[in-house]
Amino acid sequence: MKRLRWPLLIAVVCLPVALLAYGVRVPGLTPTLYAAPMSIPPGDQEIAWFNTTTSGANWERFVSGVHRASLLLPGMTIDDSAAFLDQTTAVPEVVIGMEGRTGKLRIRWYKLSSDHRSVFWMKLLAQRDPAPLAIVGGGSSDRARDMAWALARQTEWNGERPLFLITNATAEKVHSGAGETGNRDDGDGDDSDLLQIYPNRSFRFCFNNRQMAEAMLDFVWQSPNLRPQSFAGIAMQAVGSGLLSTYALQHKPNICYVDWDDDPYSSDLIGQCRDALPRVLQAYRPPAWPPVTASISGWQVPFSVGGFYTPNRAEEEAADSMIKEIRRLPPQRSLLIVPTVPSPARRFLRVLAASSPTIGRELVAINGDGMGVNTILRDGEFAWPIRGMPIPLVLFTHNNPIAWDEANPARAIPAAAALTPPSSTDDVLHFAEIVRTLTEAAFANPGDTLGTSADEIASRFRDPASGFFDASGNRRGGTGEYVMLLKPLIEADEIGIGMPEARVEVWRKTRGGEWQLVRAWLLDQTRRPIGRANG
Amino acid sequence: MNRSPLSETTVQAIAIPARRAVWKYVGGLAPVVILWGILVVWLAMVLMARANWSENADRAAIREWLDEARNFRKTLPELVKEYVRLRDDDPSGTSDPKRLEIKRTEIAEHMRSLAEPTRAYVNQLPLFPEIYRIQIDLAAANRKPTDGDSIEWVSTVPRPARQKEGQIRLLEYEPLGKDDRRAIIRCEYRVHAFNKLQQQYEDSRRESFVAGALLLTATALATLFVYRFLMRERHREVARLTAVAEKEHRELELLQSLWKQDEAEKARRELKGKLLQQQLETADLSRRTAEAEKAALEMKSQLYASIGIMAGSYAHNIKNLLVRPNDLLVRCIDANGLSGEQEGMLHEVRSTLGTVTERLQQILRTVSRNPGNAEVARIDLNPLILATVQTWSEMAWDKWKVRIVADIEPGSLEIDGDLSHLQQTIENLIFNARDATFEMRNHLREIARKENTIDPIIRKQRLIEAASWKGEITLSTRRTTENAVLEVSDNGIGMTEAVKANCLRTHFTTKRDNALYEGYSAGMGLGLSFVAVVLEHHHAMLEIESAPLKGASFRVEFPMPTAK
Repeated sequence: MKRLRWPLLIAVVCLPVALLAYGVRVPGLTPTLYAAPMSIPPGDQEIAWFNTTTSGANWERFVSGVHRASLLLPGMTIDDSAAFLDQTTAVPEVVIGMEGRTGKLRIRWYKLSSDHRSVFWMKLLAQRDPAPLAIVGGGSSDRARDMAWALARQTEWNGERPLFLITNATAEKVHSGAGETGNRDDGDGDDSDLLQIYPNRSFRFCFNNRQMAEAMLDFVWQSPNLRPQSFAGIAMQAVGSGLLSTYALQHKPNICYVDWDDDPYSSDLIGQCRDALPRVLQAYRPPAWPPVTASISGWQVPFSVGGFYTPNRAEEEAADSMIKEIRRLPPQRSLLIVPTVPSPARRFLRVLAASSPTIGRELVAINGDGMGVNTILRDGEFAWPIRGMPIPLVLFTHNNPIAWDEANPARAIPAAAALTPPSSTDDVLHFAEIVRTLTEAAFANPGDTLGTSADEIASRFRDPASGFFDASGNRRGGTGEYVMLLKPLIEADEIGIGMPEARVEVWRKTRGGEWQLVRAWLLDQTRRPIGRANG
Repeated sequence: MNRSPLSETTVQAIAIPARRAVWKYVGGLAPVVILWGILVVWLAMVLMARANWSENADRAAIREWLDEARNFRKTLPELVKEYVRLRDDDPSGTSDPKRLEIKRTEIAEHMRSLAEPTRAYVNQLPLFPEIYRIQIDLAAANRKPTDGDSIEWVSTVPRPARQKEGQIRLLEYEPLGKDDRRAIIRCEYRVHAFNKLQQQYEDSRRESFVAGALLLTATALATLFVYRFLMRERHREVARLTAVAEKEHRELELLQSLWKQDEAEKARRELKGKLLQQQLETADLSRRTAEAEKAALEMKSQLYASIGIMAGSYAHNIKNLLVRPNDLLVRCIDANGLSGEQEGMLHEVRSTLGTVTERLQQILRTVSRNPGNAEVARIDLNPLILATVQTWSEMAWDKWKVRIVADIEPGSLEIDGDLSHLQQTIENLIFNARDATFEMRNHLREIARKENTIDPIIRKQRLIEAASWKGEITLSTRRTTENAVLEVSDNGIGMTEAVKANCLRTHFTTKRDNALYEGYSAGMGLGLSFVAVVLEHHHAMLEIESAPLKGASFRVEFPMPTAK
């Protein structure tokens, strides 16, 4: 045995080296996998939060939303000690508990990268025991579509199939291509209901495009200063001319839209607007007037990729074509639907504004929730310079974007949950709503442990008594919708050059269907307080 | 030349294990060397990684930027994958050529949107990135590289040609997966404007190289040291083993020598034992011989006694027988008619018969008495000496070649003693002296015979001289104030001290079985012992002076008789 001592020692040392060189994974020696599902302590349940690797700010807002939810749920405890880790490749988590209950709800951020996409994580999570209670994700419609497809295809799980909780994907219909992404560019396919791709287990916490389209069009048409109409009609209306009705019958509201083909949200929102437009026109038609139809013109842009300010070729061509189209029409205010994210919208509107300095008088743009109000409120000085884009803009938010706590200083808010300007508050409040709803459902069962299942949570979500989801899994509409109006100030001369100030208004839809002004203020991008870079 | 006492076989027996010992050392050190080698390699890798950490970190940052940046929803690798999939689905590009072109344009736009901020915000962004080229090389759908194409974005900013080419780095990787060469992303970039950490890492790299060089040097020196140490130890070990072997060899030789000595000693002791045994046996044999001789002597004494008795008887008979012839001879003389010559002759016969009768009477007296039974009478020593000389001188000269001389102090020299015993004592002394002259003559003859000479004449002359050598016995008397001294001297062989000390013991003799005395009734060891006994009974003192080859002198001092 003594003679074998050194050879054995050499073998013990060299074997792991050889195995590592050969590519065999050796516990403790092999580099940590970039993607590996974490285990779940007994009695706990997991909520998988799917988002891209570059969504650190979004995760921070989500964690704030968790803390915000704790203000709404007495007894809710939060452990966010592992929420922000040094290693960016690690899986952060925030742990939610309830006082008197040992079971925990662990919300973990599984990061989507170019190498680790939704399908990859689904397969790994499906192999783990237990399966997660729910997958939270879908910050955009295309990503929600990918996740829904991945969930639909992953039928084998260690336990019940998880729920799919959609955060911000608003498209009702998505293109189900043959490829993994379902992009139209990836192959042929049909438009499918997003919630039916992974049926009966998908729930949308945001308003959908139909609700957004109805809300925005309603908001635009209810405001005379925004409603698309001819300038002549406006003048007649101003002077009370009897020719107004005759003129109105001859004039059709001009609706323009740009459809970015690679964004299902874009085409769906346009479709929803087209569907909602007759109802809105009918709703705001004077009683003596005949039915009104709109003139709708659209431009297709194949993809949304482009520079920060510089449009891609298709966008530029579409903008040029649109300007020409508008110039051919009688002077009027048209409605422009730009259902996209900030960069394409910024690029496109900048091209329009550059082509016609007075375009702000001729267009009212609606975007939906694609841009986010932070593009204007927080990052406006570079992301949305008002002087360069003097076009009124209507944005939709799923919650109050200006619910800053400074408005109610008497209320003691923990720092982690505090909402302070200039960042908008709609995202945190939206996440808080998700967490509150989910936590209530997860801890609904009495007892010490968590002791719940995906099916139980799904049934609670569908419970009409909760009033949050309808039978299809969509969030109930009709109340809670917010819109923000950005109305740049324009020189009152004939040239009508835009100024660096804009009036910002936040409106809320009441239960009666009326729009209630929450707050209005003047946004001046030239007067930034010293020491506050974001103004 | 100092030659090793070890044999060649022994030296090889030591040397061969020594050579094996090198391999034994190598085998023993191999694990340590291997472990040490692994450690050095690992350390070198750590140093190299540490030295290149800054560059690797920059590379990883650029790779992360390319991989994770989303201008819209998709990253560059995702767009590339979609493009490749589209090409694979429609290799000819005939079904929907526009779609492929749109995706290609989208990728180009994506690359432009990535690089554009670095130009728009030049000298303002963290890391101060400068992107010179982003290129995607795509293999053809039929997988022929020659048919491949590429999508690239090239900065219009001229490359810093005056700077070192190494400062413009090239990142190259496969977005579709490792070793999937259907698509390759290449990015030429330069980062940092005044990176102090880079300088520190450059210093660290230099230090690492120095440390590596030192490590290698130390390794080489350590190896050399270990080698020399092992060789020195090996030589020492060989020398030590050789010394031990030599020592053992010497000890072995010493042991063998001691063993041989022991064997010799043992043999000597055995021989001595045997010798002692033989001596014991000889002594025992001598003792037995002496006992046998004693017994023989006793038997001979008894025989002699018997012979004496018989001789006495015969002498008495002869004496008695001589009475009648003597009477007849007297009558013849008394008768007339005889011539004067006849009468003289008859007187001579009568005188001779008288002598014979007297001798017979002496024989009768001698054989009928022992020395202890002396018949003390006042005797004149001188006449006795003269008579004895007269009796034996003629025979001595004729037969013994010995001259007997009497040196008598004038006057009478009387003592008290037994005449017969004294007469016999004097004759014994004469006989003893005679024998000494015999041995002296024989000795001289032996010397002449053994003389180392070639000349036979001289040798013969020596032998003749030795044979003609004459012995001489002198009987002298003298008177001292208290004693009468009789001295019998000869020029014979003489005696050693040992012989002189034992010559008076009964049965001690140097003549037994000596052919020299054959026919002389000598060698019984009784003559001088008889003399001693007789002199003892006469209260006389005997002194012997003699030395080898110096003759002998027996001096007898009789006490002077007290006046009556």
